[in-house]
Amino acid sequence: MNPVTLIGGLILLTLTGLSATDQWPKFRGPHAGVTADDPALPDTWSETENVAWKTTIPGLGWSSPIVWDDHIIVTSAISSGKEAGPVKGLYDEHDHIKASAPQRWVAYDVDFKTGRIRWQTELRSQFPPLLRHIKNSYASETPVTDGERVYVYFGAVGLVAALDMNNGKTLWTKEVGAFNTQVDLGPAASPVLYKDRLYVINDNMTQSFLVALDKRTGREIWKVNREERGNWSTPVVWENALRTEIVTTGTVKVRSYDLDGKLLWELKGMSTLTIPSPFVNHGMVYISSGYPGGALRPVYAIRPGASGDISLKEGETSNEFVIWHQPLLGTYNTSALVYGDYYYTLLDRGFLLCHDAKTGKQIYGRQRISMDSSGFTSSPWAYNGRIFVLSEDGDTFVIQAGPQFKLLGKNSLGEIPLATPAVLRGSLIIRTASKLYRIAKGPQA
Amino acid sequence: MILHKLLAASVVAGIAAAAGPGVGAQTLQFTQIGTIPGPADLIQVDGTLAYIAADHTFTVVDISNPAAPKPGGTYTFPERIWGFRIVGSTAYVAADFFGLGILDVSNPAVPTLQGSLKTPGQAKNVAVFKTQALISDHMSGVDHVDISNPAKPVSLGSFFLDGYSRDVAASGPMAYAVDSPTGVYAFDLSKKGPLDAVSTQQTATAPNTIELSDPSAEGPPIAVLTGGGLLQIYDLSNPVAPVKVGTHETSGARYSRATLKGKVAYVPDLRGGMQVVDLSTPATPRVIATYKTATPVRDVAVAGSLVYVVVGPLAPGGNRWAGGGEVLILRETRTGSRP
Repeated sequence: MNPVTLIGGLILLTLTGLSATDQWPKFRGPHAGVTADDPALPDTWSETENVAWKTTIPGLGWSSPIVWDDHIIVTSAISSGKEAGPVKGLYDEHDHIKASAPQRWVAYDVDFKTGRIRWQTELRSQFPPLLRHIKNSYASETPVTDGERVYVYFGAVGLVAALDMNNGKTLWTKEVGAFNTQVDLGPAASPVLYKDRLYVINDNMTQSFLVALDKRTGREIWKVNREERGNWSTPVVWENALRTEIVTTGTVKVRSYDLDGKLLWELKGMSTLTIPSPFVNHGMVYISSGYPGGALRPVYAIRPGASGDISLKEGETSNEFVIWHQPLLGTYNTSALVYGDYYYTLLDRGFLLCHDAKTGKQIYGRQRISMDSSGFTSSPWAYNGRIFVLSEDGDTFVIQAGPQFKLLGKNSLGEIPLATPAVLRGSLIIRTASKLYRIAKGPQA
Repeated sequence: MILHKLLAASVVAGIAAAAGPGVGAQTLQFTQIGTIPGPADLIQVDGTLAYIAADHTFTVVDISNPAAPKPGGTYTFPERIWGFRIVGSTAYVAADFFGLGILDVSNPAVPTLQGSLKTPGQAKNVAVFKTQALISDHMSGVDHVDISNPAKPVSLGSFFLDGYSRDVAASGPMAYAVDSPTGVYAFDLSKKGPLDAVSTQQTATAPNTIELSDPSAEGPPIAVLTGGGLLQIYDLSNPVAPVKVGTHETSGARYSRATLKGKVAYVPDLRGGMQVVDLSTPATPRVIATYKTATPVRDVAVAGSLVYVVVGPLAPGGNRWAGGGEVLILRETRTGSRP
C-alpha cells in the first residue's frame, strides 16, 4: 500500500467511525453489512475483471461466506441426482419442491489467497426429510466462527456441528431435530455465537425453539419453546448500555431474551412471513418483516431497556421503546442497511428507499434500481460512500450513499446469487450458485 | 364417465335457484346442453367462438352449435396462461414468465403468435385500450405496453404496486388494477406520459380478480372483485374514484373470476359450484341461483342464454387446479315473471 492510499484510508476510517474489518465471522459481518472505508476495495468487477480467483463450489448452498484469517467457510448440500434449479424473482406457484436424490451436507474451507479448497468435511449424507422452496437450498444457514472453531447448522437435517478451523475435523455434533416451516419453505435462520454459547433458532410447524449450546461441547445449556410457525431471520445479540440480550423476530412476535433464555420483552405486529434479520446501529435494534402479499410490512427501531409487551397500540407510531415505526417499509428477503445516518431499504422487486436512521423520516421514496432485474434477495452492503445491491441476475448495482439516489454503475457476474457477500481486507467474497469469487483490485490482489 | 357427470350435474341443477328481488319472482334454471372436452382452466366466449386456456395451451372452439362444439386450433406457450382478453380477432395472453403474447385468432383453426413482450415477472392478465395494453405483473406491478404494432409490442414503463399484482381490466380509457392484499388502482389511459395511477385505495380485501360491467348495462358502472372470501362491488360512477358499495361472501377460492351479464355476476366458486348473484342493488348482493357441479368450478363465461362453466379437479389440500377440466355448456332459462 502506498502512503497516499494509506492516508486516504485513515481519513475514511475516521469518517465512518469503524475500525478496519479484518474478519467476517458471521452473516453480514461484524457491522451488519457496513465495512470500514478502504480505498483498496473495488468499485468495478466482472467475471474476469478484478477477479483474484474464482472457485467452483459443488452442490447448492445459499449460506453466506464467512472469513477468518485465510479461511473462507461456506456450506453446501450436494445432490447425487439432478435437482431443479432456483427460479429468480418473486412468483406464485413455484413453491416447495422435494429433493430428487440423497444429498451430502459439506462444509468447505477455501484459502483466501488462492481460492484453493483447503479442506472439506462431510457432515451428513441422507435423503432430505423436508421439502423446500424452489429458491431455498438445503444449506442456507450461514456458519459462524470464533476463529478457532467453525459452527455449522443444517436445519434441513437438524444437525449442529463444530469443526476445527484449521483442519475441518468434527469436534462435536448435536441433533436438534429437522422440522419444516409453514408452507414447507425449508429452514434458513443462521446460528449466532456469543462468548461461550452458540444460539440456534428453529421456528417450525412442530415445536419452535431457541436453544443455547456450549460452544465447546455442544451440550444444551437451555432451550425455550416459541409460539411460531416459521422464521428465516437470524437473531442478533444486542450488547447495549443496559444489558446484553438476544433479539429474535417472528411472525407472531418479536421476542428478546436474556442470555439465560428469560423473556425480556416482546412486540406484536409483524408480517405474515419474517425473513430479514434484526441488527444494531445508533444504539437501537432495527426490526422488520415484509411479505409483499401481507397487509403489515413493518420496520421498528427499538431502544434498550424494554420489558414486557411493547407493541404499538392502535394509532400509535411510537412509544417509550419503539423510537420509530414505518408500517409498510419492511422487505421480504433482504435485510436493511444502516450506513451513516441513513436507513436503506432494498425492496426485493428492485427499489431502494432511504430514511433517517434515527427518526424514520423519509429521505427519498422508491427509486427503481433497474428496469430489467429479476429481483433481490442478497442483503445490501456499503463502503467508501457507496451502497451495493446484488440482484438475482448476478448484477451488483453501485449506488451513491446519502440523501440523493444516484446509480453509479453495474458489475455483472452472470449467475444467480442469493448469499450476501463478505467484505474485508480490500476484497469482496461473493458467492453465486456455483462459484465463490474473491473480487479485488488488480490482477495480483 | 362424461355421461355420469352430465347426469350428476343435471340433477343438481334441478334443485338450483331461488329468486331475489332484483329479478322479481323469476327463477333461474340451468340445463346442460353440451360439453367441451378438456383440458380447460379459463374460458371466454365471443360470438360463435369459445377461447379456452389450459395450463400452457390456448384453444379456439367453434360453438356455433353448442350441442356439438368443434375444437379448432391451438397455440401452446412455453409458460402457463394466467389470463387473457379477446379484442376483435386478437387474443392478448398473459403467460407467466413468457409475458404478453399477442395471438391472431382471425383464423380459428390456426391461432398465430403475432408478437410478444417479456415482462419482469409472472404476467397475470391483460387489459387493452386501443393501442395500449396494461399487464398485471407479479414483479413490476402494472406494465404499460404500446401494442400499435402487434408484431413488436414496446414497453412504455410500469407502475409499481405495493402488494402482489393480481389482475387488471379496462373499460374504455379507464383501467383498474388490483393487488394483494388490499389495493385498487385506477389509471386513465387517455392521459399522455408515463403510466400513473389517478387514484389508489387500500380498502379491498385480498382481491385476486377484477371484472368491469359493460358500459351498456343499466345503472351505474361497477367493478366486481373476487378473492379473500369476498365478492366486492365498487361503484365506478366517478371512474377515477371507485367506491366500495357492497360485499358478498364466497368460498374465497383464489382464482375465481366473476363474469358479468348486465348486473348479474356468475361466480365460479370452486366446490361451491357456480353462484349467480344479482348486483342490481350493489349494496345488497343477492344469490339468485346456485348450480352445483360434481367437480369444482374454475371459470365461467356467459353469452346470451348460454353459460359456459369450466369444471375440474383441485390439487390435494388446496385451491389449486390439478389439470384436466372440461367445459359444461348450460342453457339458462327463467321461469316466472317480474312483478
